Amino acid sequence: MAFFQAKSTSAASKHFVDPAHQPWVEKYRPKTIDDVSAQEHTIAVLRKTLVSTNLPHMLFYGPPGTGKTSTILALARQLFGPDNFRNRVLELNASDERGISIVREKIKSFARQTPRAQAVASDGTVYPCPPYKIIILDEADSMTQDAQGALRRIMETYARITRFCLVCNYVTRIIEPLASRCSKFRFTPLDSTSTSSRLSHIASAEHIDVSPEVISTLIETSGGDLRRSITYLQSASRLSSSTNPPVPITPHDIQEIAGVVPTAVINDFAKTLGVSVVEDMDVDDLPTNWKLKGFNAVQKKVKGIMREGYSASQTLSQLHDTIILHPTLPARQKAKCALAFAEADKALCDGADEELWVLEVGLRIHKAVTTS
Amino acid sequence: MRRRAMGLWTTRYAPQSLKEICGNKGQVDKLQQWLHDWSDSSKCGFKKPGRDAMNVCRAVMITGPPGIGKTTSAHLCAKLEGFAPIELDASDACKWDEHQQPVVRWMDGWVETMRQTQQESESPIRRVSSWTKSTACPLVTGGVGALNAFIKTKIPVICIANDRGAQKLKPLIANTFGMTFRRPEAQAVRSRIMTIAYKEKMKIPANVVDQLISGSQSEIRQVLNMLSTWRLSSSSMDFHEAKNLAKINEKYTILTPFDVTYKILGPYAFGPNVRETLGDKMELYFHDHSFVPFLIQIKHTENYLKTQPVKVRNLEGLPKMLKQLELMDQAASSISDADLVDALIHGTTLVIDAIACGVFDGGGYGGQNPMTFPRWLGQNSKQNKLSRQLGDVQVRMRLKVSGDKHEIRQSYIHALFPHIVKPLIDRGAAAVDDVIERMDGYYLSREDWDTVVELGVDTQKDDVVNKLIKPTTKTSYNSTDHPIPFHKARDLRKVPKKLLGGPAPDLEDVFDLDDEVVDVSDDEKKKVKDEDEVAADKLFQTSKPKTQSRKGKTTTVKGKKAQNFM
Amino acid sequence: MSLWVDKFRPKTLDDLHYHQSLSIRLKSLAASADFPHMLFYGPSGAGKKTRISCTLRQLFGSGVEKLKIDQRVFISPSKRKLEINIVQSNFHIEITPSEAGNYDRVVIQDLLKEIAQTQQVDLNAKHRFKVVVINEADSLSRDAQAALRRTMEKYMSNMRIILCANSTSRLIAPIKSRCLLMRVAAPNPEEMQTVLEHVAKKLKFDLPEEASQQIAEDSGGNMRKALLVFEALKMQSPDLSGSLTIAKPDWEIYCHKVADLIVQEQSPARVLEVRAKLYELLAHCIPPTIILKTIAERVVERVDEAMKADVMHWAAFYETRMRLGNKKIYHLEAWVVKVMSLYKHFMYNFDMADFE
Repeated sequence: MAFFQAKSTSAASKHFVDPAHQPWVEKYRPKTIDDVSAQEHTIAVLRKTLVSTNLPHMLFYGPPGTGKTSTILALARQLFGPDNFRNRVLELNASDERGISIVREKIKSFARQTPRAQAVASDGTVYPCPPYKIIILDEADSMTQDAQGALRRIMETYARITRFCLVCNYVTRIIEPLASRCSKFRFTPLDSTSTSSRLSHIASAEHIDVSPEVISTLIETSGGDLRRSITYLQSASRLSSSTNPPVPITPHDIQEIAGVVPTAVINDFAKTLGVSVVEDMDVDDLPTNWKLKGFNAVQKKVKGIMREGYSASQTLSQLHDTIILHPTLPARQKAKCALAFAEADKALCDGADEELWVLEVGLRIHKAVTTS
Repeated sequence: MRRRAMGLWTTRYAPQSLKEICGNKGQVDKLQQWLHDWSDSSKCGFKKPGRDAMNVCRAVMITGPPGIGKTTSAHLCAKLEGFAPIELDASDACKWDEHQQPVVRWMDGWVETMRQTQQESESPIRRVSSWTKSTACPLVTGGVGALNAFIKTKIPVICIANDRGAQKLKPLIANTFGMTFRRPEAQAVRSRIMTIAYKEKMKIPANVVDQLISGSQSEIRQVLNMLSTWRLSSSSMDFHEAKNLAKINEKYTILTPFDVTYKILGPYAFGPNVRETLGDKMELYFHDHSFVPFLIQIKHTENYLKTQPVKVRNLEGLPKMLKQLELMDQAASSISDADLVDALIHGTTLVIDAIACGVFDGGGYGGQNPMTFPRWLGQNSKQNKLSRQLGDVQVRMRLKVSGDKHEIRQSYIHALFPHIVKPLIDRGAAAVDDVIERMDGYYLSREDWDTVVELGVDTQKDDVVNKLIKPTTKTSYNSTDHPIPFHKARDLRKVPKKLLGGPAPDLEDVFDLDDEVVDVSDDEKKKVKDEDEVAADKLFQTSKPKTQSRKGKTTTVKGKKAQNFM
Repeated sequence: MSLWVDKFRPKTLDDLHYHQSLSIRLKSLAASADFPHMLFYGPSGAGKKTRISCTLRQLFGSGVEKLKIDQRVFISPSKRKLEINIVQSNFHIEITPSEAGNYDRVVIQDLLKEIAQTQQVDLNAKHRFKVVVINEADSLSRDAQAALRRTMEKYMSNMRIILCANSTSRLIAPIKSRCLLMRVAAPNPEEMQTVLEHVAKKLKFDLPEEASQQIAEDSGGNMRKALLVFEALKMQSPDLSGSLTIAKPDWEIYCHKVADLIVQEQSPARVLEVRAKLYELLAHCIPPTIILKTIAERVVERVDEAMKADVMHWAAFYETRMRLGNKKIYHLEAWVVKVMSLYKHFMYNFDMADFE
């Protein structure tokens, strides 16, 4: 019972985080739109709005981690300055309640308020500070249809004093009436050069040594999502610096953090299935259970993978990449394998047993590759 | 009293003579005869059965489907025999209450009035009380009892009801002569209807009338109502109009789930000569859409293997085997499909649901099958019970052990068996102390021991095990104490906390947490807790002297342990 | 007096016998001020819970070992009584929300809010936060996971969450991105043998190499199972020499019997027999997936190579259906019938092939 006894209320506000422990994603977020990398078209358009201060309702869409939220936040900061930012900008993301009731209360009441007169900026710079407010709805595609519907009217009614910016991944999930009220801006996936330069910049700012292999592993495992790469980098540095003396970060660490199955394991599995893997053409490197053939070999290998605790969907996803992108497998065999992968993905989404489906996929690949 | 009322044809054309009554001729004659003989029978104390064996009864119970002429016949017979019938029905029930007394008094008072009137006038006026009661009547049993008592008075009573088998009517059955009225044949009804139609200047050919009659299942009242409504807009009707009209006015009789199941899975439900369309069969499903698919599913799956499919009857030997297996495979996999459909779309697209469950199951593998009670239900409840008990075991063991429920079942139960069950088998009562010690290590109690045994399968099955343990061992085990790691909340009478359901948030990924984290003041919380706990806490009862255990050690161990875990 | 597996369970990170790198990491994380939310995942019996308790001990000292069980009763909106068991110490609390079934979200929100409202009692505690351990995290419903996500963000200052799961597949991405993933793989046979020898030494008897190898292989990477089997074996044959037969659990033997029945005869009567046995297993709380897998593996041992892939294919197929459907027995039976049909057809073709 002692566990639940209340003590004096702590003054610690729940959002207060020690700067040393602040997520790097927040710490290194671009402060101006010029800092945002790799979205030339969008930035050009937005730069103009800074000058003319006539902002439309906006819809930013694109894959995650490409800079959508950063852009709008940077823009808002440049428009209003840090002092007015708090009372001119409302940000709601997927972690906040955004049901229809909140739309009706919170958003509406914020949208209604006339913008307060601009205070003189404390840092001396003059901000454009146009006479409207901005509401940012992050991850808007997870709002229900009803909530989105309730937004339409608000957007229209208060358009003079409030501009909306919706940020989402799938523009198809935004209802048509809403999308038609906004100008759409597409955010393209980042290319690896800009990503790696950004990561190196952060690493040096935080005084961490990272080798080029680590950077490329970071880019690989995050799939074009800069936010993810930065988060992995932070976790990796946390782990490595926790020991004394700090251990350098290796690509393997990144893979563990990302929950990615090591390439060696995938290649080994592929080999057992009869898919020759180009990289290791070592003749001496025979599969350890050469004695077992066919079914038993595959079964044993699958059990081994499961014992390592790797996620089945992750394993299959990587195996899929290996096979489908294989340089020499005939297309017909690839097609048969693709079918197996698709069925397994559906089954795993439905919560089926992992081992059975990895085995099933393995056996089907084995059959496709060794027969026909 | 003949009432030429304005609207209702049913009253306007109520039969005035026995000839005009449609159907049930024999019954009506008997009724009239009984009434005729009633006073004679009452004079000789209802001893002589009479021609139809009816005269031993003081009262008659007429049962049958609605709208076929029960009440009409009763009134008519009474009038013809010179009685002035008094009718009481469910709406009069409000005058009655549960107690017999006021009811009987009311009737007695009325009877008294009647008798007085009778004495005053010269002609014998006898009263017949006709009591209409439908099965839906909310009269409490007291009412039926009162009626029973009333029957013993000096007037003929005719009771009218719909369902002879109704529970409420049981007391009455013994005292009355039961008369079942059936739905009249179409010809019987047709001529009457034609006559009425003619009188109302409607042009309706005979086959159309037949359609109306069959559509309403010979319910004359219904037909008259339909016609009178139709008459307001048109004076003629053709075949299709009749059919539609009948269909619209169709009444749903509620079949029990068992009836439905029999209809769907019956021997000839899918034979070549069946007239019901697929649509009709699906309609059957809706009689009880939650239970019917369940019942069909279970009954069919449990029974499909016991029949021989029609398709293999002509084969022999290996081809027969193979074909049979193929069909079994198809049946089993469509049962699997049906379960999936049921799980995924239950409650939304019931129509498809109906097809899948009813038709797939009932269709492919038709054959004779005896209806046995579903085994699934029993096994399911057994599983739930054991699962709960297993949960209890796991909770107790949690202080020491890391596994979840399944791990406990699969590894630990088997591993504990040689330590807590086998010794009792091998060494009998001498092993009790060791067993208790082992169990104490995991805070297991007597119920948990039972659970461990109940969960065993195969060689460790509970009946096998229980046979091997001598009764003396059992008793000596039962007489020793176990320490308790914690009391179940329900034993402590703790107040359960209500979970606020609330509407499901209409956002996919988000649920609200209150923004303010309010700190309850320390003292308040503690005070409330103390008062409640001490009063309600069973553990604080003044301890009775504990039953003498075999080793004094056990008691002290218990005490010490109990302290730690409160 | 408890079984060896519980008696000799390591209490500190230093006592752990395998996955040294993991232990080093955990130790340093516990020492640092920046302890993150964590997710321990891996197969059953690999040592996740053991590692979690060792980590807790590293964080808070031996006070975490004084455990209490509390039982809370909730009334669900549908008026059902839910009894939730909480194991706690002064520094941490351990819950299994999936006990609440469909109401796990509400239980999580209630409990976590309560915890977040309070401060650490012991001002001398090394850390200001309290730890919540959530077991069977992969059986959490999506709603519960979403609620958890919000909590993890909001109450970072005075609460840390440690999740324990068998696999990460069923956890939503936002939860995984907020936790440090700790993969606890099953120990390999050599590592298991080390543990067995350690226990034998503590109990002061000799463990022959052959026996320990056999035990390690039989258990399939499940350390808990290995130790339980070890103890049972020792009771059975005290000197552990010669060839040993490891007794299988009652349900496993039963499943093997079922498999044998399927392979021996394929007929409606046989299916009915099998059905009765399947009911027996289900009613005695063996999870349906385990039943299917165990029987399938045994069937596969006894059929021809050409059929093995098919048997497993249908096993995967019907297992998925079992998850989605309501009545597990139907899908199990459908698989049995399918296998029988396949088997018969296979044998038939085989026979016919002989005559040609």
